[in-house]
Amino acid sequence: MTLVQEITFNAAHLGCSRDEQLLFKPLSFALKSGEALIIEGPNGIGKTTLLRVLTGLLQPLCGQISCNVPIKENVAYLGPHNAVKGLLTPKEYLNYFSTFDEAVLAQLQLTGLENKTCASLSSGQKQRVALARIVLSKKPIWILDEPMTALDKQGEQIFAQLLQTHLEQKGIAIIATHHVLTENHFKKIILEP
Amino acid sequence: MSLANLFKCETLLLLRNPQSWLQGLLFFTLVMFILSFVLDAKAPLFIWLAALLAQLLAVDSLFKQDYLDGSLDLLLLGESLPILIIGKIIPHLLFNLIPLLVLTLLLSMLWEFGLHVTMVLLATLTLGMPILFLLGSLGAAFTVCVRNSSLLTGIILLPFYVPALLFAASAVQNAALGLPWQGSMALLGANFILMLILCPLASAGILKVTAG
Repeated sequence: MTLVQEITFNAAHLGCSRDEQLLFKPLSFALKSGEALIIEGPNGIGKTTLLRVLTGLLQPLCGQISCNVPIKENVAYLGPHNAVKGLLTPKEYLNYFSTFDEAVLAQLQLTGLENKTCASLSSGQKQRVALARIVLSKKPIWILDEPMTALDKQGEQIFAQLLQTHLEQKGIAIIATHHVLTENHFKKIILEP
Repeated sequence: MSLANLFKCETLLLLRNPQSWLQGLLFFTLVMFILSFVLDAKAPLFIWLAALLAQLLAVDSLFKQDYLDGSLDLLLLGESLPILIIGKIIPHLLFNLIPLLVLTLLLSMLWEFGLHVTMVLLATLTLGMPILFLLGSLGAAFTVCVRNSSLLTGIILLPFYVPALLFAASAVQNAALGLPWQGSMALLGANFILMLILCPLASAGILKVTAG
């Protein structure tokens, strides 16, 4: 995948609410192609809500989001539930979202599991299937909520490689995570009440 | 996900999870058995009433699993949500309607309705059940976040079902009495077209609020 268009993704004084309560201090950030933003903060501070606002699933309480491409059409979203269908095999599941690619499955070490139902896979393997969906979507904006949940050390390394490749191909990533990503050049925001 | 892929995916999920559509049909069969052999009440309208109640069981789960596993978010991010909702409804409708028509045909033969009344009854079900499923998508969208919502979905939906039930009942009753039934059938058809336009749009709007 080679993304040709330079993408900018900005948020200005963005605030999110739950039960009409402001969750965290309004935040601003600016991202351009090849950059990643890591969102950190304690449980319940609103990381998931913020990601849902950034994808367009929720409206912000205040502030603005601007992007030079339509967000909905260009976003690959991984929510707190991985959206993997237990009754389908990884091959069937991935085929419904995009063109199935053996190479991506091999990269995520899912080779040999493609014809088993997702319900029979472990949590980590299901998470890898969900990550395969993100990679195969070929969308330039990744918005990921705890993408390394249930992944083992090797899985975390694989994810870091996939993320690096995505950024090298001029993609953007916004990630809420408690896990430590080794790359220290990512932008970071810590949400505060 | 494209409309064709969503249709294929839903069909496969329904094939691998038959209890999601079989419970409605079993309910329908049970009600018919009680009416037929216990209460000795044999009228075409009872078939419609049982089909309506059985449909309520089937439609409640339309978006529930997608909400629980997180794939509803992907649907909400899809390019045209109302179209995708139609893509979700059609497989559920087919899995419920086709066996229902077969069971109705068997019951009509058992209860000796006659060919004319049977054909009108099947026609009203073919036209009416899509209306119920389209309206059902509204109820399912309203209650997507609610656990054990079958009763609530029913309470929300039953008033909306009344026009379709009235037109269908009128057509079947007129056919049984040898009166013109085409007018009621036309109204049922008009109702179907109206629901086909309005319900997916309304369901999409409701889902954005309730699941968003």
